[in-house]
Amino acid sequence: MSGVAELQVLFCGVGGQGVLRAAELFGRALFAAGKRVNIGQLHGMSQRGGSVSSFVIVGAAEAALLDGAPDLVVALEPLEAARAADCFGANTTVLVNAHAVVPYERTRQGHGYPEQAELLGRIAARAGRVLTANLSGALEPLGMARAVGVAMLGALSRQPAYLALGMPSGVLLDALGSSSDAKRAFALGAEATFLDCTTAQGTRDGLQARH
Amino acid sequence: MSRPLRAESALLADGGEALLLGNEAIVRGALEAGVAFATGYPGTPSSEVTDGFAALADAVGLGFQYAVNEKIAVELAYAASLAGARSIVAMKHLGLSSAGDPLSTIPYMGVGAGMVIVSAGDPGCHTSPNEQDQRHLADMLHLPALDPSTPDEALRLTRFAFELSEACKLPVLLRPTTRVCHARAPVRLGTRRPPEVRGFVRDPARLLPVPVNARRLRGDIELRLEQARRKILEDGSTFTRVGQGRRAVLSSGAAAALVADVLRDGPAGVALLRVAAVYPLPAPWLVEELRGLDELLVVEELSPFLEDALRSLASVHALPVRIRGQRTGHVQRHGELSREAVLRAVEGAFDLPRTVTDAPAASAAPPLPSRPPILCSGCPHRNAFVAVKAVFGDDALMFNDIGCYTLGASPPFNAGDALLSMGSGIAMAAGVARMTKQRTVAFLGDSTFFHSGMPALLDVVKEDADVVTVVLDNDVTAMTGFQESPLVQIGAGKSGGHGDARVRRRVDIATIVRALGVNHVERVDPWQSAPTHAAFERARDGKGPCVLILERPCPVFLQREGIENPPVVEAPPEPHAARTQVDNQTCRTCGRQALGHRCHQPVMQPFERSMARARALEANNDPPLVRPDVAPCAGKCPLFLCVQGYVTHIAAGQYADALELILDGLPLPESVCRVCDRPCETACVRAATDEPVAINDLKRFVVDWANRHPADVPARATDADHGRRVAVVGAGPAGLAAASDLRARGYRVSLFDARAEAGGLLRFGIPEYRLPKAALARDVARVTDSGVELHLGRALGRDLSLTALLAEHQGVVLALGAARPIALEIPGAYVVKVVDALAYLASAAAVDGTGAGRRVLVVGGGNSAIDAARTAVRRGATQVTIACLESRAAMPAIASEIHEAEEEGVVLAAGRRVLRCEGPRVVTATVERADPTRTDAGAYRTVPGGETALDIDQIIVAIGQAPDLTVLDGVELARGAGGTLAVDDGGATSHPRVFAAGDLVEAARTVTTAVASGRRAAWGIDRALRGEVEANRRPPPPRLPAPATPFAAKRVDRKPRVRPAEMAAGARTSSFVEVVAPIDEVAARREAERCLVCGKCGNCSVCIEVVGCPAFYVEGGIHIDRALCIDCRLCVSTCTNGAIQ
Repeated sequence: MSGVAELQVLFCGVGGQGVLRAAELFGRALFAAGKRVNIGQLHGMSQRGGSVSSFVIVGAAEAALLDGAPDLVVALEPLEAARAADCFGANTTVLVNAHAVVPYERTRQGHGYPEQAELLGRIAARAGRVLTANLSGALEPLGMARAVGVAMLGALSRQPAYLALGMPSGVLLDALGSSSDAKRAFALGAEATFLDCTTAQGTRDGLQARH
Repeated sequence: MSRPLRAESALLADGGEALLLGNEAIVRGALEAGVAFATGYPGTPSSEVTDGFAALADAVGLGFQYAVNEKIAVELAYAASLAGARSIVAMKHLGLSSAGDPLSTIPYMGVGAGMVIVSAGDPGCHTSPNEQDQRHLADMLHLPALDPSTPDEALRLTRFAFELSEACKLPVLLRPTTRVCHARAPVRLGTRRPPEVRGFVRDPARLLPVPVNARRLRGDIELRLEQARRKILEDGSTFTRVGQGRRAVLSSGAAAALVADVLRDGPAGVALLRVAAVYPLPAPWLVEELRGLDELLVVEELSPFLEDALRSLASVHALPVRIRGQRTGHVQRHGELSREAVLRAVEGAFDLPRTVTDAPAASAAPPLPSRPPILCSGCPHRNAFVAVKAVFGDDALMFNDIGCYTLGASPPFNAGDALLSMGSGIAMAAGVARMTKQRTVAFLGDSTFFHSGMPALLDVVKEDADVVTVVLDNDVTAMTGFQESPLVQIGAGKSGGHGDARVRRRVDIATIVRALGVNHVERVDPWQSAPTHAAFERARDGKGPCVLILERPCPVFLQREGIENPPVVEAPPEPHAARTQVDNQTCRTCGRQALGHRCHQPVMQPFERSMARARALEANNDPPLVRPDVAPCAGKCPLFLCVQGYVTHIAAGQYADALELILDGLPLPESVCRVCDRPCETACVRAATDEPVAINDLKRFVVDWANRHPADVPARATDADHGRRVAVVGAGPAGLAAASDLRARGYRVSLFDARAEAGGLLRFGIPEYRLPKAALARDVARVTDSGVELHLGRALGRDLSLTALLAEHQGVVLALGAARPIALEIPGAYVVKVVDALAYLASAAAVDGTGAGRRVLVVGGGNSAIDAARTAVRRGATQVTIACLESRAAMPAIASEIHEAEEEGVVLAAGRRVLRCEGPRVVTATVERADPTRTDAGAYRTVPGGETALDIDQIIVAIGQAPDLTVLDGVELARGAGGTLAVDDGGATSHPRVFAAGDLVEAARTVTTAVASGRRAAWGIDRALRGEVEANRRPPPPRLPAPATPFAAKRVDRKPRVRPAEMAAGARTSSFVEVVAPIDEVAARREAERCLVCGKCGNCSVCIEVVGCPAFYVEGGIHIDRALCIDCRLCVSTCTNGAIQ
């Protein structure tokens, strides 16, 4: 949206999921490959269990604040994606890890998690494209639930908005270091099939297909 | 939240560019300036500065330590500078005020080597209780101040700050804000300089600012500021102009980066004046710039500091430039600036076309559930708050402090009435305790205790304040990123990781606290529930200062370091092999459900809170207590009332709900709440530790409340009429109960009684001082109001025949009672008047002097004997004696009745048999129990030599009753033992349509048993007439066997049982007015809280409501999120159903 930013990526999720780590990894990888990046945080209480978000601005911006709508959103949790939806725009593609973390306030009121379809609806109302996949569900049996941020980076690496940066392939993968678990998680995310929930029908189909 | 930095190779490399946090850039800038000493106190958003130095100190060879507080940190840094070492000290904005004392004098004395103070601001209060513009402090204290706008600028400014400091001999304040501190951006690296120490230079005239020196040194400050100004101007790098034009925006700090972005791709013809040295300002340069401007907009955060300075400059130099900013309403006065706010300011100030559209209205959809901060799952602080609320209750005032434990003020604990500053909890608690004269509680962490809690505690000791101080020691300064505290050294210099990198220091909080003079000091592990609760109880009950130290390392910290949390002292059998989980078979399961009984009350918050508070007192960390499904009291209750349910409702103040539970099983509440023999209380678990809960008095309280609030009495649920007709003969307790129950089942009920008034023994056997007529009348009215047709003065055998009743009704319930007194043959009883107790009591209800002067002997050990004796007293007897075969302990009469009789002057001669009368005297002999297999008179053998004689006028015989079956007009019904009718579990006799209840069939002859019997017969008839399925919609009270292993609570606080007021013995014997008064509301709620709620309850949310761990979630049932649970096991001991393993 702004003249100075080539790409803006928003990362959001629940404290403890690895949101900040994922944003930092992404930013560092692009910096190491020669891009000018600015990594900032939207301040909520980022202790375990609170809402967390961070963003990476690729370009010449000096201030560490998003300028208009992000091009890509990496959401590790659906409710947090919905919470950030007010800043999404027609050119925003949102990747949602469809793993619910129930807020304590809901439990205390005797309710469960809000309907995922409703959350996806809110996101789709603002964003240009909404894609979901349960990467946490795929990682849990492998004992790698904590690597969901890295897995989402894998998914991010296939997105047109990212590819348009023209980075050499392997930039993100190389930045993960030598951990084989990290590489495996990244690959899982890159190869995962995301369901397009941009339309209400798509959402229904998507949620149905999951069952 | 931040964590101690790993050694970043970038921070040690030279040249090139690195992606660094603003805080990391400051560290790097200091290294490039050859800093030799670094210190500080953790505080967001500055913590990464101190942590960065901590991680690199060894590698670089610079001195580093965390200081106990910011004042000490500043003093240490200044000392280093006097020793000729460049020093840096970092803190958040609040810390600057904390260090105000030394900071205000250091400028008079001047630095040695360069000294830089980093104080990170927090516009928008993201992580602070306030926002402050430290630039004003710089002005007031005469400190040059630099304000970085990007991480790259932060590095350069830090480097320059040391030069500036040495040029003017003043400490330099570096003031980054959150947006710079926590942003990561490219930073150009210079070259590191090795640290050097030049040595201390003596200069007492300068370094000892006693007043005579201080007055002179004040003048020096002006010179120093002038030197600073010159240095800034010479250097020239801290101010710049970008762009051309006669309109400009002036900005500094984080705001300047925003303005730069906005102007870069925004309106042409607007220049940017960017200033990083904000005090002293580069005035000559600014004046020159202002001369060339028509309009200036000043964009800054928090206060119009720069704007006012520029207005002042413009005025002094008579410049015509028009200045706009906060003072003109173009820029907000508080909070953090956004891109939109800056753009709007620029467009507004310079009258440009508006491009900022107002943000699209937030969606009209309902707000999303929020995630307010709460204590992490497994946090050791959690049990501190569970315990303090359980033990101190809702009325105690609590004062919190700054740390993770501040979250104790959040739901579900809400344990925090005020919060102020580091260490303030103790002084606040003491201040309030002094004025309100109540014991208060203060919470603070280990780090905070050292920071500023110790002097406050000393003050508490000095004043003997009534304060409980709870020190929550989790080993580290957790909230700001797990920095070490004075207690624990964390592998300084190591890159962290495996094995225990923590070293416990010699500093010991308990020793310090005792040395300060506190006598009541306890240490406890908050992961052990029972000792923690016990410690809080002792704290609550103490007087004067008390300190509880709760010790357990932060599990999140240990997890990050890869360290196992030390297990609780008694290691569990399998060390957490199975993950903690909720057994949904037992969770929210009513223990009475298996028997078909389940209350229909929904899960309700105040109810669970009361229940949990009750059970929290019993919590312990052992393998979970094996909870009975049904509480012992309910198990013993003939009516199977949910005692714990209505008692907990009373504790929660929900009397209508309590009443509903009572009426669910008890159709005659007024009577039973007065005359029940209370088997529930004998079974109460508290009987073994202090005193049973006064269950029946609580029931009486609710009944009394209902009479005063008739509008709140719940409507009775009655099945639809189905036209079947049943006759009930006998309107005593059994008959009334059967009639009421049958009516609820939709039957048309005719209730007959031989006498002129209903009630049976309730009316004619139990004296009014125990059960007033008016109360009984309310019970009877409750039955007749439901539609039962009552026909009085109709006796079976005289006005009614069983055969005729059977012809007119589908079923008949016989509740005839045991109306035939058992006679006692007393040889020689000619002169003495002998009368049976029932006849005596039936006629007794008047104080008419007919018994005046009489000397009375009552024979018998049951309730009728006591009733007769106490009635005789009221009728004026001068001497009343009770003689019975049973020993006092074995007497079937209710113990409290015996006690009251004796209070009224009745003499008890237990263990005695009446032998004969000799004229106006009766001779009795001692007996002993000879045959334990028998319960009749034959079980007792007279002991020779124990005969005594007593002068009497009247003997009242109360040795028992038997049913009178002669009235059954020829209908053959099988008999049972002792002259009763034989019935099955549903009151069915040998005739398919005749049922029986009460004393007619029961061996135990109490009012409550009779009521239960009546309900059973009603169920039995319903089963016979409508079938099992229909009948079981209202199941009868079961007869439960005694449990194999009686349930015993592990730990019970001792609290006295409530005693209802009673009329004084002297006053009460002159009337039949009711002796016992109901208890009041305060007493009732207090007594109700003594209930331990032993049995399983289906209306439970204790884990969510009281423990409040975020790992619980509700999806159908209650479950534990394995990603969040760390197996601290706190919930296991507090689960009221024992459903968590």
